[in-house]
Amino acid sequence: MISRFKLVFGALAILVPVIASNPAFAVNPDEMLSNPVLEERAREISKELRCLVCQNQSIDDSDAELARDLRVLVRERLVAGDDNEEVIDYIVARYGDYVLLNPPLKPETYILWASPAVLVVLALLAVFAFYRRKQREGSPASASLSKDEQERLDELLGTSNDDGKS
Amino acid sequence: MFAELGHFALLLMVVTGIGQAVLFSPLWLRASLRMLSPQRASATPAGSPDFSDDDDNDGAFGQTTVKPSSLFLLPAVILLLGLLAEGALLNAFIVSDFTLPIVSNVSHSSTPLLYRIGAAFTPDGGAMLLWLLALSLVNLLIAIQLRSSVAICTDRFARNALSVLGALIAILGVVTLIDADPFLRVTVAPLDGRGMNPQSQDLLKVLREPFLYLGLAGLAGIFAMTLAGLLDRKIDRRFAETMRSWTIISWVCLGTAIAINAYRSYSEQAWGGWWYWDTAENSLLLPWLLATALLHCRAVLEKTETLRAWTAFLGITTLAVGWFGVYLTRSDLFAPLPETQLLPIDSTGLLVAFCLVFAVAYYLFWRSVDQMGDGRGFDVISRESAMFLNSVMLSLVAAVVLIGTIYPLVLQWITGDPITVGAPFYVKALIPIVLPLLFLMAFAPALRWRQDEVWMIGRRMKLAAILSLITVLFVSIRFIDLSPAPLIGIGLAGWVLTASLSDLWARLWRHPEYGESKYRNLQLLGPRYISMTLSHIGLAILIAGGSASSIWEEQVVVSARAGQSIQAGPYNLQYEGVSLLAGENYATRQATFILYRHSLPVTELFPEIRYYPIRGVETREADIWHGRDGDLHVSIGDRDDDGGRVVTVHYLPMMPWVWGGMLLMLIGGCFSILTRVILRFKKTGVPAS
Repeated sequence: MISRFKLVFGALAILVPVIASNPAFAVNPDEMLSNPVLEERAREISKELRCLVCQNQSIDDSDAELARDLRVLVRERLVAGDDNEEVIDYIVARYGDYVLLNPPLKPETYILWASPAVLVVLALLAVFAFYRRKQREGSPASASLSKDEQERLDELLGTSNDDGKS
Repeated sequence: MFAELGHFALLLMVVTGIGQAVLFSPLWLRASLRMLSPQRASATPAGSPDFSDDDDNDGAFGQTTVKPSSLFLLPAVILLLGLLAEGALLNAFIVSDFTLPIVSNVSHSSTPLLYRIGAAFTPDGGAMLLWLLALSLVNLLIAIQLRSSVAICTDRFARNALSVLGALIAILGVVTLIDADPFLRVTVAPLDGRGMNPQSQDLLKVLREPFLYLGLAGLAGIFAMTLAGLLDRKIDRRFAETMRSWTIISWVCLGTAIAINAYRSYSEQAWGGWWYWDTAENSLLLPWLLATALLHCRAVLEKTETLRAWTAFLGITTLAVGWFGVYLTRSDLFAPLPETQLLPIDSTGLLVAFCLVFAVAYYLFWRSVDQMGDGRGFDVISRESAMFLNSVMLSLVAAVVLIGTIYPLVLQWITGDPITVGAPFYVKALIPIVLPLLFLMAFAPALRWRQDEVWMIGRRMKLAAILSLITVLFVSIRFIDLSPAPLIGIGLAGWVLTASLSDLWARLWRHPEYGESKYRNLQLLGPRYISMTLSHIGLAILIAGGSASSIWEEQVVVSARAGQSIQAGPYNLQYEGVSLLAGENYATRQATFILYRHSLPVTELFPEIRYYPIRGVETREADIWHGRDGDLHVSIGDRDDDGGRVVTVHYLPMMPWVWGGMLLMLIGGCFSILTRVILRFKKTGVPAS
């Protein structure tokens, strides 16, 4: 049991999106770069950037005119020789952190990024305390039956064998 | 004229709602007041003779003033009024009465009849009215249910629950009248309306709203029962039994709304995705997650009378997040929401009512929670424990989604600097919670109540573990270059699936005391077990499909000319050209594709770009072929500079598993409700386990 848990938590470390929405593309052929390496990088960057007029969609997914402009802009910067981070910085400098689908780690977002971990820890503590209390109150294994329950059990046993099914 | 009638009906609904709240339970207020005074509350713990004597007197008083049959009378009147109001609004939309701004804002004389009806649900006033109607339906059904099962619950409980529902109807009615009165008229009517939002002009989208609000109304029913139970300090087995069908109904309705939403995104957009973690989707997902948690806790409560406080807390919180979700989608806090942009938005009333209702509810909870006690405990390794941990993890998922949804809002409010919380955040934050959840989920059906032994579980899960490992091995050998992430997804799906099936198998064949015929054994397992297994299998299939389609997806974007052939997966699409057609209220450029599989024609596909002249908006409608082994998703884009047409083709293997899995989960829920209803009418046959 414990080793299984270790296995799962170990697996967590190497995890990337599984149940996430499918990344697919609305990029048009005329926007694509002829250099496949650059095009691949453009795709990668586009998935991180938000279409400003849509609901939480990346510019890679969006049909909107503005998204198209951003896609073209990303490719222009790549052709000009920027590396991926420079391109993203270039766009963030113009549109703000709002364009980043993955909120950057900065003082304003510390709470956001910390909250899942904090919640998990709190839940673990609460669950642990819950079981501790249950155990202090007497585990069901050792608890003897109350008088009524014993009577009822005798009555049931007298008539039929209680099956063990759930 | 009809609109005024509807307006009057809405007003009367508020009045009768207040009437129901006050008449059904004069003790409701007294009990609350009693709780306010600490010395009385602490002097009367649950079940003490003093407390129950007091109640009996009140109950006797209630019974003499209101005859039992009149339990339905007010709910029936409210439902009638609700139908009248909704009918008046629908009539205004059907006849296109543009003196009502609500009609002229979202409808147009050229909108087809079906969508004129659908448009009635989209603006704030119409949505609130639909919610009220659903609430009054639930109200009447609960009145009938509580009356017919007097043996199960006390008269006092029934009155309290109905009184809370009456109060909710009155409060939401007032909110509707203040925030977004649908029946206001203008003196100078526009010549024609501004047209429906073309994005909503879809049959599925029209169906989504009734399911959503029915689900929320079901949650309100649960909320009312929880409050009634808290007032009695009786969150026990009978309470859980009374609540049962409502948890399932809400779960199914909300799940249907989510499935519709996902499929609609999938078929409308050009990129074959189906979930974006946007506000509207999250606000649907939140109550569904908590309803799932509640579903499991309730089963534990019914079986062993433990987890009382936790179930009651979830009973209140599920409605709270549902309500808050409605507020989020209906408010102007998230600017780019095309549906709500056109009317001046004022959702303050909804927020104020939210704070009021839940402040009272949580106060009641807080006051009565430590007086309820808890049943006998359970071992760490037991089915209760698995279901409890499941509900805790589901609540964690919901909490993370909630934080991700409101964080940008709060931050913008504080710093004025907007940020975006998108899919990458949710994926990183949720995976560590969802994976253990799925891993543990497989154990629950095989565990025994109360207490179980580790080595016994090992024996029972052996087969599932081996089978799922074989699946993982097979997939990883067959597709050698696979990254570990989708492999874990597929492995977990296989784990859940095989565990469910092997448990079913064991119960069918190995149980010594079961009868000869396997069909009889299936009957003996009972509808609950079968519906649980169906839903779990559905989830496993959904996860397998989601993981697989994300890795093996093939995407082709080409600039196509007539006659050109496009290869995607095992399919071959031949582009025939685009023709200009006229729809009922739109013009459309419809492309024709002939789909070949291994050079045999399968079907024709017609993706479109529609232009709605009234709003001046273009929408793209993909066309999808659901094949045996995958979906073929085609959409068209603009014309290229050199005269070709941009065609986007996705081949999504195993995507039908996603839709099939969703469907199976919902069928599982429906199965449980239907058999219960049928059994109630037949009164014979299978004993519900």
